Amino acid sequence: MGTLGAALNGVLLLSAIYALLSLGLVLIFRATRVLNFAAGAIGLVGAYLVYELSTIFGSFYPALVVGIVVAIAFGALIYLGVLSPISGARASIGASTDVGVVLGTIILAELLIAAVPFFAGSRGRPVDVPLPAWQWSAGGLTISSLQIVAFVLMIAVVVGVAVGLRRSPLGLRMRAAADSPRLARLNGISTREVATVTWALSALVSMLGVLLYATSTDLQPASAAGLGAALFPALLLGGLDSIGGCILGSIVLALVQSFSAVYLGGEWMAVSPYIFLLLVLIVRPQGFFGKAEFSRL
Amino acid sequence: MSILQNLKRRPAQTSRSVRRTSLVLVAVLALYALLAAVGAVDGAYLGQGAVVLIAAFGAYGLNLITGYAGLASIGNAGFMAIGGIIGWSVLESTGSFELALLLGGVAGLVSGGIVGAIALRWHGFYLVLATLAVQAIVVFVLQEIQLAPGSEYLAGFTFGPMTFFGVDLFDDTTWTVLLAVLLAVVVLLIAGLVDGRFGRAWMAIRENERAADVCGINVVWMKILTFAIGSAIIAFGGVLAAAYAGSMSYESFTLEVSTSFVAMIIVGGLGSMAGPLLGALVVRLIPYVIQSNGNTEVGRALNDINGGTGLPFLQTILYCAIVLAFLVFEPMGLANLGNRLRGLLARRRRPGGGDSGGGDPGGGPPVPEPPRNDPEPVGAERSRA
Repeated sequence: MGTLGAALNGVLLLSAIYALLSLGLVLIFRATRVLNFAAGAIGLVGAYLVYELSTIFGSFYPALVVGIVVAIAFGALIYLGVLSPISGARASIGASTDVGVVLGTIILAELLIAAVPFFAGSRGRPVDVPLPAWQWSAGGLTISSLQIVAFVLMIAVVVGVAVGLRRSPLGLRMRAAADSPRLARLNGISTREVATVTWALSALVSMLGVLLYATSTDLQPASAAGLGAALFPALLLGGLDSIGGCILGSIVLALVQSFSAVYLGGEWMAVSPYIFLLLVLIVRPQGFFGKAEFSRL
Repeated sequence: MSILQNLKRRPAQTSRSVRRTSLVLVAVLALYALLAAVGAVDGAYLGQGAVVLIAAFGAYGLNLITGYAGLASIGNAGFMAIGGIIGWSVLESTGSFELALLLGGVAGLVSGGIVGAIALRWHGFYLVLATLAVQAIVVFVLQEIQLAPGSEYLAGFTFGPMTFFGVDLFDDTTWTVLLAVLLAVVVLLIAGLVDGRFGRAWMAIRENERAADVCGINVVWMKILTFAIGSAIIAFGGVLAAAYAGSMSYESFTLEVSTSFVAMIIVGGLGSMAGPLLGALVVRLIPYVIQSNGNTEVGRALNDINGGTGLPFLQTILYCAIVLAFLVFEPMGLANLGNRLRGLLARRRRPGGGDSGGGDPGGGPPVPEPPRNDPEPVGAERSRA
């Protein structure tokens, strides 16, 4: 029980982190068919800002509100300023899939992860969320109020986004653009506007994800970069374009990572997502809820 | 329709420029090797030149994968590590550097083939994810070996004295000549591939996979093969990099290293013959430029933002910004500069002449500018308004 409890420790928080970050990726993948490698980095920028603001304001929640607004603006800005121009220019690269934009997000991630410590210094920052201190433990398992809040927040955000996509007029436009960009354009929907909104939304949820991450580990550029890459198995397992799938994928990934750390040793923590990723690629690359496009072998 | 047309028309049009560019590259490499051999290149630059040449191997391999076959990959460091470690163990056990190079390349070919077979069965971005995983796993395995209790490799895997067909590899001059010769071979090999059946298949696949399939190209097999060959070149470069450095350690195969190769092919020009070398030159020299300007007024001012330790970050920021600017303003990279200049001159000569507008080069015919007429919009077509 002791080891099992230890293995389950932190899974709630970790799966909430992964789910929020992969939600951002799913949204972007649906809207623009781009794998965004910069999610961790974009989230990092927002989370740093919240940290800095909370030390300036002296309290966390006002900083969070400002951070949310800035993150949304930042996401939109990144799409309009960097990725939209790349996808416009991409035609001349001649790749049929938009390799250029994917490469762009990889480079963008590295840029942001170098820019944050350049402007803010590279010491780690612990984010302290003021919550009622409460915790329950049994065996090696400890569940704190923070973990519960994180998980509930994740569920609320994911359900909110899913309902928003289904019910709101904007969500309808986003689904239409994801489904068939050409038809959507013919019906007067601006796919550019939809993509901008998507990137803004995605930056917001990424920021929340990295912020949650920073409550357990110090906020550090390198770790955010790792986070942005390590969450891909969750995304893949859920199916690249399934919002529900990303919750399941995140929980499985968090379990895999946490179990491998406890049973195999701490050094497996960082690599287990990638082994898992390779296994998923071998066994079921379309994930549980995604639609696969087969090539013939 | 366009595919059938292109299959007939394109190769004839491009093969001349491919052949010409590759011969120019070989000539440049030969000249550089000659200058190095007679001692005309300053010793301080030889080391940097060797670094650029070594990076060019990885860039050429990746350019084959991303530029020609249109597959995104960020596993360069991983495949370099595979090549490096296999090369090291071969050198350690047989003492033959030639065999180490060969088997390092073969290791890249095999592992690339396996990874390709796993990831390229499906349509989409699975390869980039698989290479990400391979990179992390390879580095992890190296780390486990190096840091195992009682390990004798704590400081890295060191390469003993090496000879290449009887020539001792001990100073930068001999290394430069060797690297230049090997790189010229790689360039000619790639030019041969681009100029032949492979090149035509790549072009067809890039323009429209379904149509390529209809034309009798086995698309999946072609992609796997291309990825394997590209990985072999990258792994070959990995052996050279590790051997030149004298030792290798898991710490030097980070994701940033992989990203820097992506940066090289973008800056140089995706799918061009001269691109990878130009890109390697620019990307590998940016850190030196920044370092040497670190003590100027601007350098100090920028460094003070950070409190004095900002140079490494500044290097990353600057080179990423350059790469993004290339992606936006000149997706065809430095290799297209010649065409651009020619286009500018042509326009000046006949004012008011028809300019196609946009970012297209005005009147440079040799570089193919693929028309986009696939019936199904893939990718960023969706995000474009």
